[in-house]
Amino acid sequence: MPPTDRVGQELRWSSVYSTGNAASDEKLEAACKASWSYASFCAWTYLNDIDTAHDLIDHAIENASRYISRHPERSVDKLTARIKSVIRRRAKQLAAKTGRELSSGLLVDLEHFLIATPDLEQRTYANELLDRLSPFALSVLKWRWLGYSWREIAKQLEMDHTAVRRAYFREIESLLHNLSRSGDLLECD
Amino acid sequence: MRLSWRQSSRSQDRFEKEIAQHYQRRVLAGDVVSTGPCPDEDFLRRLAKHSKRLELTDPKVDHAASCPLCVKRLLALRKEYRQRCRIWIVVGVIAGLLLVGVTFFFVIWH
Repeated sequence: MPPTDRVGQELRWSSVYSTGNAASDEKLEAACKASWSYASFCAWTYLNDIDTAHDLIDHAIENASRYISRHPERSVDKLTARIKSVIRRRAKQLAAKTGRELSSGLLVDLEHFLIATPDLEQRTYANELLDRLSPFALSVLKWRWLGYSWREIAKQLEMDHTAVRRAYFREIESLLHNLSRSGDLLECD
Repeated sequence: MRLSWRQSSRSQDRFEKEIAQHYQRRVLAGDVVSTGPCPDEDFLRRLAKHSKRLELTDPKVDHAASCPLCVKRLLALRKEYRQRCRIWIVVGVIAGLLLVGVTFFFVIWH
């Protein structure tokens, strides 16, 4: 079984994608480490699946190892930029391939939450929602609370602002939909 | 299912505000875990002004948005910053009106 944790992932990078040159391998490893969080964010934003980050980084490293073999003089920063670019492109490709129909909640859930839910119930739902948010969505929530615009957030993450916004609301709507469903089940009982 | 984002943006914005308020309440009640030491006053001031030079992925930003003490200070600084902005707007409008008045006066006079 392939290792799924971060340390295991790093070990796998250095063993599988070795360029045969120690200096290039070092650069490649440093670039991979710098790009890992970006791969996770791309997997969440474009594919709604954090586990795909491993596939994204694998694909990018394969590409980068060929690149560094051809141009061993390239700096770590340039290599990192290339890896990030490959990750972003691959994530967009996979998102297009798997189709745009991602499972999420309904807009009705948002409207229902805002209009029909009593204050106390709203607070309970909101607490449940905040507890279940993924670390990425929670970070976005914090940055938005701090007053940063979607464009400013996306610029810092080197992503498209509409993709980040869409991913954030997709997760919230999906969670809200699940919460309202479990609420219905409770009512039925 | 496909969502129409243009039509939905208003309800999404409203919802986002609601969630942000709930989040703020939770932080102030001490229900959110914050890690690391509190950042200094200068950092909080820059954060309150939405400085573009700050790295959002900096752990200090995460702490400032999760610590009740920092959040209280941030809210106070934001209020202060908004008031200062309002004062500058009023001063600007008065200066503009004065300039128009003086120009008009000189045009009529000559």
